[in-house]
Amino acid sequence: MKKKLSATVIFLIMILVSTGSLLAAEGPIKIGIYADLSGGSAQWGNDTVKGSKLYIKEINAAGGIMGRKIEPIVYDCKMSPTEGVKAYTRLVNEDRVCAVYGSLVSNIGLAVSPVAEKMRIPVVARCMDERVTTPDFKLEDPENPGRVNPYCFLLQPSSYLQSYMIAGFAIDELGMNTFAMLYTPSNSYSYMLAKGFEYYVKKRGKKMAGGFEFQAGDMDYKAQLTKIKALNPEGLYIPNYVPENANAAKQAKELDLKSTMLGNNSWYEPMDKVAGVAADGAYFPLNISRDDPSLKVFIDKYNKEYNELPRLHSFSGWDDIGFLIEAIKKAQSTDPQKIRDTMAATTKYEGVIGTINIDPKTHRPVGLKMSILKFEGDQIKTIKLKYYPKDM
Amino acid sequence: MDTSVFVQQLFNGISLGGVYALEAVGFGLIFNILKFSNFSHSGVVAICAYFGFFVSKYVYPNFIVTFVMTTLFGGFVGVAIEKLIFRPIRLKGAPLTLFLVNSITAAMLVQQFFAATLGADYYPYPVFLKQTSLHIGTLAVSKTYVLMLGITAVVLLLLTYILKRTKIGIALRAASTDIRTPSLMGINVDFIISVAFFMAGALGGITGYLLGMTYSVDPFIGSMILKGIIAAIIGGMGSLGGGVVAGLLLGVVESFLIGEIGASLTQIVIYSAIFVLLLIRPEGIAGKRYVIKA
Repeated sequence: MKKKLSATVIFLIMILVSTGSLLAAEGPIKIGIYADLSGGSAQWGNDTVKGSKLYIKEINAAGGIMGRKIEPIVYDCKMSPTEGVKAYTRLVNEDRVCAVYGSLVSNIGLAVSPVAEKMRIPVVARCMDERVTTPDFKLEDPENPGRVNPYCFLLQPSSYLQSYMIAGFAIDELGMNTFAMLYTPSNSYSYMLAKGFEYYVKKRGKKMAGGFEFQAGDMDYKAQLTKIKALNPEGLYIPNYVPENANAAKQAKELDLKSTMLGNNSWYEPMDKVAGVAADGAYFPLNISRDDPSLKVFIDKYNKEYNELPRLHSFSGWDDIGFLIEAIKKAQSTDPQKIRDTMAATTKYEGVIGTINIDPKTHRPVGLKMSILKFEGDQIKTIKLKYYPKDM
Repeated sequence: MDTSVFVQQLFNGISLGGVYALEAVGFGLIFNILKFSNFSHSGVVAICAYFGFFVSKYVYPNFIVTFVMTTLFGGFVGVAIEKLIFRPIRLKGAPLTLFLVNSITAAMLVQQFFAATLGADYYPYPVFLKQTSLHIGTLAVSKTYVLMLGITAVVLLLLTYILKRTKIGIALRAASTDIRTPSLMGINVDFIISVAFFMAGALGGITGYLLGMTYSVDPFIGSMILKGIIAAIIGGMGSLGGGVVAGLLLGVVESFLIGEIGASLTQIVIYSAIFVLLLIRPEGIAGKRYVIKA
């Protein structure tokens, strides 16, 4: 009797479990998103979420994929690496997502990367620090990136490549020979950009007059800028986040620095609002230019949905989540391993920003071009569309 | 070092040190009377930095008007903080550590509040001064910093006058020597404490406004006052004059060190130097020894 009863119980449990998993298979496909919805990079985080939600809305309106809707689960990681790891772990363990779209902050990417390798759920992000996708990357030897983290993907030019863009442009198009830098080693994004810039400038046989650092939280760089003014380089590279870039630009103008300011992709909006005319004359590379006619469809669509113009990371959000969802569609599966394999083999994914061809050795895109923009007063003008720097 | 760089760094340091001095005095005023480290001062600075932005952007874009408004507002924020979180525990006779804990909690609360509500956007002040720098030979002097330095000097002189020459100032100084005795002489101690918080708050308002106008406003702007607190410690927690001297000194030393040995090493050198200084002279540059500190 007892045996019979336990057999029935086991049978019932099995039925419950199987219907449970069946229900899960028929429910929406859960995708995790952790983004900086608060903190210093909150505007970027919110923009990526807006861009990605627009994509998901469109896909769902068209019936979803494999007959299932997409359900994004979004957590705020507050520009903090610990919060990023917490959010990723929670998405994997509690929400059981099949893939994750992560914050673009490199410090967070560096913290999540080893965790993702252990938990084996792929994470797509815009962290430009090479060490997020290739953990053994050596600053002095960028040509040999080392082993790849199988579960991390980057969808834009990495920091070294982005710094080559502006360094190459300054050398070849603006004819500059001497440079200095103002950056912070406390932010891996800024640090890697500066190291890449220095590497390229030296390889091209030009002079790096001095690299000046500041500390996290510092807002006053007049001491560094005074030294830079005395060195009088032709180009001053300032690769940080918006508030730091804006403070540096204002203080450089106040000290009457003559060097041309060269920026990173954080010199785009809202720099025009935060730095205003202090940014006048600065050049910087950007993944997109709104003057590019091919972006019009997306711009109109986004404007209609949110009643505002898309900023850089609105485009990013659309492209990144699109890449992730395409991988699920191509794999025809929600098995994270299969999704990962498809991502690693992705070629010719047509994003609004550009065509993504993933290099399986680095999990970074190959050959993506960037636009070069310039501040004229507090207006941002496009100087060159689709620029790619000369080889060293 | 060439002379023009030297003079420029000296000026950079003094203008930076002026802000540290303001912070040190705002912090020191409360320490003087209640003998605890009032970290909630950073909260006042942050609240006023945002307040200054909103009034100058949306209410009345005039420097003097918004500056005065923010200063007064800072004073009231100071009083409100005292009434809400310090007075109740003071009346219960709570130990000084509890004051310290409350002040840190208040600072964190303000920071997190702004991070959660306003953290997603940037708040650049309107540009009040069109031409950004004056030129004296090779020296480029930013108008904003001259203004900042001028305001700091005026405010500190005014404060000295109030403390030395007015009745309320004398009562404040009496309370700072011993908080109980003045009440025996018919002085309303609660009122005196409110006045102290009003003055410290007003200084916080000025600091927040100047920081917001010169740099940019973010939820963590209050943490800029850490240097001011350090200046107050070097100066001697009891001495406002010591705080001013230490603030200026800290600014100048910092500017020269950053220029010569880099920002990362500078902080190590400065913090180590503070240790050594406090070993040799625990009361700071000008301070008196206090038995109870929290």
